[in-house]
Amino acid sequence: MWKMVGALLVIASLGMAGIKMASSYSRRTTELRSLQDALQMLDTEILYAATPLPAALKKIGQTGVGVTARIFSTAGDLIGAGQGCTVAEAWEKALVKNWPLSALNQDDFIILCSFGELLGGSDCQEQHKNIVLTSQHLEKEEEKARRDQEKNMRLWQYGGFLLGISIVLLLL
Amino acid sequence: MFNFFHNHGNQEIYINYTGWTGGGGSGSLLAVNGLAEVFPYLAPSIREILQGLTGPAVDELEEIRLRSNRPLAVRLSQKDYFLNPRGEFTKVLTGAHYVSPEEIQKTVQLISQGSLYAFEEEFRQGFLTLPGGHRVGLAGKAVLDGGYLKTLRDIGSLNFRIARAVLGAAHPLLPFVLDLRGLRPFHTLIISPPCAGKTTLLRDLVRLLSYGIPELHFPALNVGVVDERCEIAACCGGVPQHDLGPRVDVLDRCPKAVGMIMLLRSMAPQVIATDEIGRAADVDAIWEMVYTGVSILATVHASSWGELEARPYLQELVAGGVFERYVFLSRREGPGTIEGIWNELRQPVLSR
Repeated sequence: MWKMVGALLVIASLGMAGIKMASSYSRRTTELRSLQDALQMLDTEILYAATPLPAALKKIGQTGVGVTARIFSTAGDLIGAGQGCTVAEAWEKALVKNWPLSALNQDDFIILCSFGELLGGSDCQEQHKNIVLTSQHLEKEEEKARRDQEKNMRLWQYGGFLLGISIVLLLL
Repeated sequence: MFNFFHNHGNQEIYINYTGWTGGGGSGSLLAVNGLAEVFPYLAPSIREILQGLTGPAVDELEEIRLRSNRPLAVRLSQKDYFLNPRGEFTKVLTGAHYVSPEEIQKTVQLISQGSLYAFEEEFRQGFLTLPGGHRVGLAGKAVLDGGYLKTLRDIGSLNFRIARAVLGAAHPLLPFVLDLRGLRPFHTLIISPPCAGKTTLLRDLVRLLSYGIPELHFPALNVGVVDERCEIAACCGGVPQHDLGPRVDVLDRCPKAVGMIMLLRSMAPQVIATDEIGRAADVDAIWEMVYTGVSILATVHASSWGELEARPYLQELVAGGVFERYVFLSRREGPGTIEGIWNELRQPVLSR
């Protein structure tokens, strides 16, 4: 009886771990997508409304959900706080603060940091170029993430359970 | 100091000839602390230094100048001082706090909210307006596009100018510039050298007209303000930062000539006020408006009839008898000293 319970626990825990790994692949894809959507909104705010960054970033933070929204509203708050930190600093702080919650990887971090360096520091057209370029990079990452997801998600989803079952079989 | 009571109907109106700040401090009403309002826009390290300023120094503060790699300077009551790192005045360069390029950069960041794209027009014109009506002048490297100034980059100098509305500044003028029978202000030109208070006077005149002047039984009027230099209303986010009363429409940063005609058509004002006329287009616009029933209040840089008439387009207006009142100001006894008021026939209505 206890053997059965133990075996089930092993299978369930490894299976769940596998599913969590698998979901981090799909979460990264979703986050990259929503970053691009947020940038699209920022582009509109800058190009057509010339909204200053604190207001624009907070607005995007309010309309969005998840970690993307958090990054934008944190950055908006930091810039608006008037403590004299530059936009690039504020943006990086916002990224670092919210990073543990996200499924994004090192490549994504570098892309977003270099976006922050140019954010706010030039006229509308330059800002538009910066946003478009960043979006293109993120789109490429999204494609890659999607391929990884297709390749690895199934593996992790079933792999966890299979590993659990094989351990159980070995131990029995 | 020389004051007298001027009889006007049954009303006794107090006339004060001296300037607002000169002569025993009779006029100046300093309600808000301008320094506190510009504080959030200065780099934190500069804030710390200015924290040392107290009492009358805060009230009299006119300018804070930040220049890259040069000493932090302030201007109080027409006198310039450098500040040392403890916030004490010094006249010598040694010991003064030298403003670092980073401090300039941080300050630019703060005044623009880190969003240069949102202030393109402001940077092109070289100044922006902060809440409270305070202005920041900018100088740096000009970026040209086809011979026209596109924007400023690498800002090297910042000048914070503390705005102070002097409520009641235009009171002594009222009996002379209002047509109490026609219940309209006369077409009035305020003439003064720089820093003698013409904009302050115009602003207060607009305020009084828009509130109405019960003691003269003068009704409140709708006033249109074309504020090309953002000095009269000092709009920030579409809201006048100076109290201009309830019946004012402001066209902010709009070229005067276009703006006056536009306001006339769109807002049906009874009075149009504008600052520093002088270009051919301004004069054309004024000619167009003189006979439309709207009263014109304007200011111009000059210090005498001679100087006024030396300016080609203005001379045309003077000769054409457009303005019914000419108010000359000087800073002989402090800013806002009224030197005299003349009518359209160049006869003195009031002179000293």
